[in-house]
Amino acid sequence: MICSVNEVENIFTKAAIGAGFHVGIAGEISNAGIWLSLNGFNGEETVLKVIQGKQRNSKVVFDDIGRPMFNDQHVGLIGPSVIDYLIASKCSQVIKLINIDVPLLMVGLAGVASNILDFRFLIKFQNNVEVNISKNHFSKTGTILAKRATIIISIREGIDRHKEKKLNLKEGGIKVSDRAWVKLNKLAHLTYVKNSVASRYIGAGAGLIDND
Amino acid sequence: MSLSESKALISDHLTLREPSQVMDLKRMGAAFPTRLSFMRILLRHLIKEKVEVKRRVWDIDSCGIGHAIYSVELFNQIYSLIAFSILITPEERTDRVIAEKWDTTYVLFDGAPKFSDIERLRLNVPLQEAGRFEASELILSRANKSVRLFDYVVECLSNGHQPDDQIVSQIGYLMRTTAVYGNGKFGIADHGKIVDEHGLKEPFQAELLTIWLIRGFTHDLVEHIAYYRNPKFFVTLDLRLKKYLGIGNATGLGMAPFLVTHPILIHNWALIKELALGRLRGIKKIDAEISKLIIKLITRAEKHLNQWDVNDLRQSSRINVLRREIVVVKNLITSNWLNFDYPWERLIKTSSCWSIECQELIIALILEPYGALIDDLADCMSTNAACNLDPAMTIGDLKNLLVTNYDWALLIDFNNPKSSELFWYVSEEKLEPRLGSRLNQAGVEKEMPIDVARQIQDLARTLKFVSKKQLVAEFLLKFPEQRQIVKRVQGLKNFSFSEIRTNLISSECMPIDMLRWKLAFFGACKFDPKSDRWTRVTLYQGAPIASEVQAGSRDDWWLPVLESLK
Repeated sequence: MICSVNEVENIFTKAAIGAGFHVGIAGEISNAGIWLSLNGFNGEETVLKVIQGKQRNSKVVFDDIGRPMFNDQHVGLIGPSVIDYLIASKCSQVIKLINIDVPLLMVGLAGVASNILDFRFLIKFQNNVEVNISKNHFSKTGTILAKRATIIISIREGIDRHKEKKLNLKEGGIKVSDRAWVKLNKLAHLTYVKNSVASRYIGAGAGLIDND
Repeated sequence: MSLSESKALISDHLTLREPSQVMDLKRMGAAFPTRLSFMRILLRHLIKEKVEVKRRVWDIDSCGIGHAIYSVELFNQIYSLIAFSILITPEERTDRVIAEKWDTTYVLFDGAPKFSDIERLRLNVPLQEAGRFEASELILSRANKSVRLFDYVVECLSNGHQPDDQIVSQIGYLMRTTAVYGNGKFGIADHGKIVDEHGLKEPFQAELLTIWLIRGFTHDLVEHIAYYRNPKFFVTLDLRLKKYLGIGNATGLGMAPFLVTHPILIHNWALIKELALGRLRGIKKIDAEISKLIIKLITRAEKHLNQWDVNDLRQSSRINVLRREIVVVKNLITSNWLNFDYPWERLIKTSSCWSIECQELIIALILEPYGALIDDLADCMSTNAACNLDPAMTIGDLKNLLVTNYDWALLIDFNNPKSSELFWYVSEEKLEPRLGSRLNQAGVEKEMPIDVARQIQDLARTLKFVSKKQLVAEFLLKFPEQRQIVKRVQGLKNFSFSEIRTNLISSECMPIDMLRWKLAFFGACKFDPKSDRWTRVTLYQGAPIASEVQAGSRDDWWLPVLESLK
């Protein structure tokens, strides 16, 4: 089905919250999913995979001297922070993510960040595929691994204006698979409060009829 | 408006009211429509372009059942309002958002619809939320007939006479919209399309165009039914009554979270109004024309207040105070008083001893004659800016931001259970936002995160033991639950009017005040609260009708009155 960008964003975010992500992280996952969808990837399946991979109460592990351990981690947990680290490092860092569960989300997260800031991200996959992402531009040298993979992600200042292309939103929304949409909606539904007589009467502060 | 534009505007060296004053919820809840309200902006566009409303299709039977299509061309784009009218039973009619049937349903279509579009929409538009739409549909809405007024007007017109002014004034509209959906809901076009492709860049222009067209349809429908009831004696509705009859609207909690989730947008709205006021405060001398106009407008405001009757005790008592105060204002602002230097600065200062409603009314009043000076500001009321995270910021700087910008939130005593008695949630029933009591209602674990003040305190507590030198990036890896509020604090550091300076989960919170502020920016008047959580209002009361717009009518309908009444 074809959905509006706002609908997709809304459901991605709510589904992630429904699955237990904090609202801020849910927003990042959602934005990344939208970026992927608008750039020809299967955003909804990626978001669904990320959400389903979430383990309740999981936390980032730190080593003895307080450095984060990015190996074998869930991308939903560390992905936004990896991007934060790269931006905060002002291009001096390269981060290796070993055996990351949904590597495609990192492409989406980098895409969102590059749209906001004048940064260019380079992501190298273990199969030697390279992905270049800058504001309104995206290129890849091969097929991006959809399954667990090791990636190296780095950042540079400035955007690759020569290859810049405008995102085209005029087509009228995002095509999403019915299968993923149903599952995401089920998860989003977890954020809604069950209806009750009290909720109907008191929650909205209005009578049931309110005719005029 | 971008950050740089916002800064450029402020650098006018104007005297602005403090955000702590402007964004206090009690004051927000006393707002009045101004010439910078969105309906006024839209009507000025329509009048300037002398837009012609064409009734393309009128396939309505003698009972008022069928469909109609109206089209307008604005900024080289054609918009079509497709209206469907059906028969529903009184039992099926409810103006709550949880309704499933409506007297009339509408869609604003991008361009001229083909036959296949109309057939598709005929199946979907009457279903509203249960229907499915495409990006060619810009806005979706519905309205019910006023039980008190619609049939009465039909009866009057069919019997050859006009409805009673008193009754028309009491109600003020033939139909009341119960929802107006935009921005991609149920598959309709995203907001970005409306702004990028259609040039409707000021806030809510497509929504308000839809409502204005609906208002015209209600006039046509009431006359059509009246004609068929008694063609021999039928008379058309007087122009002055048509003009007075707006569109009713029932607004509930759905509007409230929007103000929290769109902080940069509300900053722009508030800032623009304050900049406009700031420009006026700097005026040293006013000419005789302005002086005359102000005196005329005060008289109109006085009359409007006398025609504003509500049952709600809180609002009713505020209106009574206002009625007394407006007489004082009227007696004070003589031509002589206005002749002295800086009349508006003096008036603003003098008004501080009157009620907040009166202070806000005075601001709306003095903005009214100054279109040439302030209307350009309307271009800056939109934004596509969002709060962005700055992971390179130090925790020391973040702490400073909290102290500087969120002192109002840090002062709230959350040890007092009343300070967090309420929680906001989305009901599974039509996804209606609602408020619950933490003490005795289920669903608190699904609370909507609009409790800004409490989140600020939680962040401040967490930061207490974090090194000032640490970066936000490092902090958020350890405390991902703080990501949203950190982003908000950082993203809003330059937008001083972006936060409602009130604890939104306190037992004393009055959501109705949030609704009124937003509705006043829309241009609504005659606020008629039905509880602390929802209100009736009238939109487009007194606004030019289609024929007047085409003729290039004057934009002069602030605080409308029915002249025949006291």
